[in-house]
Parts: sequence; structure tokens; C-alpha cells
Amino acid sequence: MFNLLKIQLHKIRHYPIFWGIVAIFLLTFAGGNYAIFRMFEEILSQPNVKMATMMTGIKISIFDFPIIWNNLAWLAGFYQMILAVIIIIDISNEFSFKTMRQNMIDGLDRRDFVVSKFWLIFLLSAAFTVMLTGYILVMGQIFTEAEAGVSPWQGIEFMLPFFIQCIGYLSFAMLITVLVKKAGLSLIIVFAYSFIENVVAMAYKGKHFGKEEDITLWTDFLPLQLQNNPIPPAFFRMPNFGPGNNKEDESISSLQDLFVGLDWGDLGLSLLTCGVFVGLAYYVLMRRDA
Amino acid sequence: MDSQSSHSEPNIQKFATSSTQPLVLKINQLTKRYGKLTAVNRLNLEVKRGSIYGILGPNGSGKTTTLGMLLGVLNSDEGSFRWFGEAPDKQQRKRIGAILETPNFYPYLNAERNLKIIADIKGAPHSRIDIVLKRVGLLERKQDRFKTYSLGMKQRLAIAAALLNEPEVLVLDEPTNGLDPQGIAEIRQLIKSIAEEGVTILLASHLLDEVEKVCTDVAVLKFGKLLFAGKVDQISGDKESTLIELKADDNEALKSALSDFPAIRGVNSNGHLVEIIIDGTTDGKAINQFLFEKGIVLSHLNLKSMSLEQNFLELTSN
Ligand SMILES: Nc1ncnc2c1ncn2[C@@H]1O[C@H](COP(=O)(O)OP(=O)(O)O)[C@@H](O)[C@H]1O
Ligand SMILES: [Mg+2]
Repeated sequence: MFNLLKIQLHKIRHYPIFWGIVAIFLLTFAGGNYAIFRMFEEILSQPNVKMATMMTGIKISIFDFPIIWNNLAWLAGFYQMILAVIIIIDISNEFSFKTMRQNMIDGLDRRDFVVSKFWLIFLLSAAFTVMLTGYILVMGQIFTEAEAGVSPWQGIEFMLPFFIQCIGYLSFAMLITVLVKKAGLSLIIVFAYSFIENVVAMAYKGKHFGKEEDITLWTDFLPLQLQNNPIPPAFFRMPNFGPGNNKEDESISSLQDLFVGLDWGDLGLSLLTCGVFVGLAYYVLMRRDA
Repeated sequence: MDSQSSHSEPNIQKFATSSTQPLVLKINQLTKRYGKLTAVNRLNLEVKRGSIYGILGPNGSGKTTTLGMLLGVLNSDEGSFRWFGEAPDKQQRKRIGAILETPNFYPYLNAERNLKIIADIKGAPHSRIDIVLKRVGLLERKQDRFKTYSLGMKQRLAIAAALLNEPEVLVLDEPTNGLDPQGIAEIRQLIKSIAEEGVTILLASHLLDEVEKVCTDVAVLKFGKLLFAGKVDQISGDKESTLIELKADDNEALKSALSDFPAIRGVNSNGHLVEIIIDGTTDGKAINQFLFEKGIVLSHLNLKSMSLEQNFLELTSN
């Protein structure tokens, strides 16, 4: 088990392209978040700004505890695409260098191979989740006004569906790469599919926005949405935000009203989807010659 | 065929422990199909401990496909094989060192790091790395990336990797392909010296000359079928033999009838003709008579007398 982790680490530790993508990932994450940060700082510095004030008189941004947890978990989902590039390149290399074949000749079986790749997925997801947790704690401190009196830890449970989503998305990338074998084509398929699925899902959500918020749409059962569902961004529920313009909603009068707890059923489905992606990747490898 | 008739003492092996198994490998009716093409066709082979076993056949005869199945990378369609008397699994592969077709390594890693990965897969101590690199003469180059290596160096690194776990069996697929004469000589020398340490070697090659120079035993493959299996000295040298071309209405019946013909070395289908090799010289009358008694009438018969070696050369050329 840990031997497979060790083997996988040997493969990437001295791979310049791996570190290159890690650097791009960190720069993009930092840059993207800084841009959003500046945007909100700007907005919040103006007295009666639509997007961030509420009837309670306190200013609310997407960076306030506790809703920052699922807001940023939702936003950070987009950076998972960069981590998927690592998975796609690492696994397609194993095909093009014929090293998966050689690994099997040397004494791995197909299950070991999938487990070793799952280790990489697990590690990248864990690292990203830990980084995001730290980032949220810092940003929350900066933006949440002290008088709101919210514990910074409330909502931290949203890091769990984020972690599982990350594992699921990278497992999806693994499955596509195992099917397609070629890096370029896998990249195109993974990115194009993610884009299309998210656009379709958001379009449907938008249509029902502000009317029946909790309605279940068929788009919720698309593979990537199954992993998105447990992380509904709270900013869709914020007053004056989004296409529905929830301004009149009297029920929302404090930060706590915006916060909706974790749906464990959705989380279970998300976990199940991960299992299906990994299981299918294993099944494909099993059936095929190496 | 010879390989069939030599399956004589299967019961003795039941009681032998795997490390004293006289048979390192036993293949039974192994078959692999790619769509309509049968790349390996009901292959039977036995490899004894300590032999240098050559699998000889022209390009496309199914050598790599056979080895791929034996090494767990290709799924077989029919038949079975046993390494060390055991059903195949990954643990046995750790007792085997093998190279299939090309040396496969991570090009961006240096030799030492590549070997670390393989040592961890095989459960070999990292202290073996310098030992095997020295053995193949690459110790000074161990910090260089694999992609900077020449083909000969890559091939030697692959042999080093195969030796990491002090294997009982070394499987090599065309190890001298594409090398210059000096590289070829080096690799052959290396194989012989490894064999002298008691490692059983299974070597696929399309070169009769190579098999004769290196191997003790040989199996000849063509179109995925076993034509001959036996000692190398049985096919080399200038012994008289005859290549006979035959044709009948039902070539399949012809072939099965021929398997009882005395002194037969190999049976091969070549288009609509059946080719056989016979020890010594013969005349057409004997074979015609033999087949007639089995109810087969020949529509074509042609004899070519030459050395057995020439016959095999003919058989194994494309
Ligand atoms: N992946 C494959 N798909 C289809 N046909 C294949 C494949 N691999 C090998 N073959 C065919 O199987 C036959 C045996 O090939 P191979 O085992 O590589 O021969 P050898 O190693 O003796 O040169 C050839 O006709 C080859 O074209
Ligand atoms: Mg070959």
C-alpha cells in the first residue's frame, strides 16, 4: 500500500513538468483570488453598495464566516482543472513511455497501478484542501466584522465535500486518460466536458433561480454535478445577488440565515461518483491488454 | 511434434517444491487472437531450469505476443501457463526479469532513479542498483537521464533492471535488435555470462544465427504455431534434411496425417501448400505411399534437399 505511494512519488518527484504545473496552479490560485479579493475590497469600501449590504446594516461579502466556507469551496472547484492536467500527463506518460506495461512485467498488477495513481489523486486533493482551509481562515478573518460574532470554524465541514469533489474530478480525469491514452485528446475531452456540463447545469439552475430553490433538476444528476451538489455557493442566496434579485426576501436577515448546512445525502452521492470513476478506470485496464 | 511427445513425467512435479521444479515454465494450448488473426495458436512449450531457451521465428510469428501473455501484460484467449509450477500472479513476476520489445523507462529520470522505481516494485534492496549497473557497465553513467542514452545503453540498462531482484529466469525479446556489431557481441556475451550463473533464459529472436550462438534449446514459431521444439544442435550443423512441399484437397487432414510420419521435424502451412522438414533424405515415393494408406491423395509434391539449417533459415525468413 505505502510501497505504491513510494513508487508513485519516485515517478513525479524529479519530473520538471510536474513542478511546472504545480507552480502554474499556485500562481493561478493566488492571482485569481487576489483579483476577487481586490474586487470585493473595492465594493465594500463604497457605502451603499448593492451586492454586499443587507437590511441588518452589516456589510456582507462572500468572504464572511460562515458562508465563506462554501462560497470559496465552490469557487476553488475551478482550480481543480489545473490539477487534472497533472493526472492526465502522468497517466498518459505511462502509456506513451510503455512504463505501465513495464511496471506490470516487473510485478505490479492492474489494481496496484490504479491504487498508485489514486495515491497521487489523494495527495493532490489533500494538499489543495489543506491550502484552501488555511486561505479561507485568513480571508474570513479579514472580511468578517467582529460584531457578527460568528465562529470561524462554523462551516469548516464544507472542506469535506470539497476534498471529495477534488478526488472525484481527478478520478474523472484518470478515467478519461485511461480510456483515451493520449495526453492532448484527454485534456480536450476533460476540459470540454467540464465546460459543457457546468454551462448546461448553471443555465438550468438560473432558469429556476429565486423561484423554487430546492427543486431537483435532471442536471443535478450529471456526473460532475453530483460532486458539485454538496457545495451550493451561498452567494446565490445573498440579497441583490444573482439573476433572481432576492432583495425582497424578508426571511434572510442575518449571516446565519444565509448559511445552509451540509447535506449528507448529497455528500454520499458525491462519494459514490468517485467510486464509480475509479472502478471504471480499473475495469477498463483489466479488460485491455497493457 | 516433439514438444508434445516430451510431456512425459508430469506426476513427479506435483511433489517438487517450486524452487527445485525442473520445469521453470510450462505452456499449455496458449492462444491469442486479434480479431480474425490468430497471433498465437495453441502453443505448447516446456522450459527446463538452467536452459537457454530460444523462441525463433520470423517477424510477426507471435514471439512478442507469447512473451506478453507469459508476463501478464496481454490477456490470453485460451490455454494456460505455469511459472515454477504455479498459476500465474504478480509474485512470480518478481522472480523473473523481463524485457518486452523495447527498453521502457521514464525518459526524464536518470538511470539510478529509474532503477529505484523497479527495485521498489520488485521488492529488491536499493543496494542492488550499483551492483547491476556495474554488471552492465553503466555505473559511471547512472546520473544521466535515460533519454540521453544510446540504444545499446538503453538495452543494457533494461538488462540491469531485469537483474535487480536476482531473478531465476530472464526473459529477453530481441535483445540485439537494432544494435551495431559491437553492441550485439556485448549483449550476447552478457547473456551467456548470466546463464553461467544458473539463470534460466528465455530469448525471442528472429535470427537463427543468434539462437544457434546463444541457446541450448529452441522452439520455432511461424504464424503463431509451434513448428519444432528441441535441442539447438538438432537443427544446426550440416545434417542432411529435406524440405517437402505438399498439397491435397484437404490440407488439414493432410497435416494431421503427417504428424505420424517418421523423422518429421516440422509442419508448416504456406499459402495453399503444406511444408514439412524431414531428417535425412527421402524420396517422394515413401511419403506418397504413407499418405495414400491414410486415405490422402496428393495433388502436389516437391522435394528440396539441403541442410537442416538451411531449411530452418528458409522457414524463418519472411
Ligand atoms: N495489438 C495488436 N493488434 C493487432 N494485431 C497485433 C497486435 N500485436 C501483434 N499483432 C499481430 O500479431 C502477430 C504476431 O505479432 P508479434 O507477436 O509481435 O510477432 P513477433 O514478436 O514474432 O514479431 C503479427 O501478425 C502482428 O501483426
Ligand atoms: Mg517481436
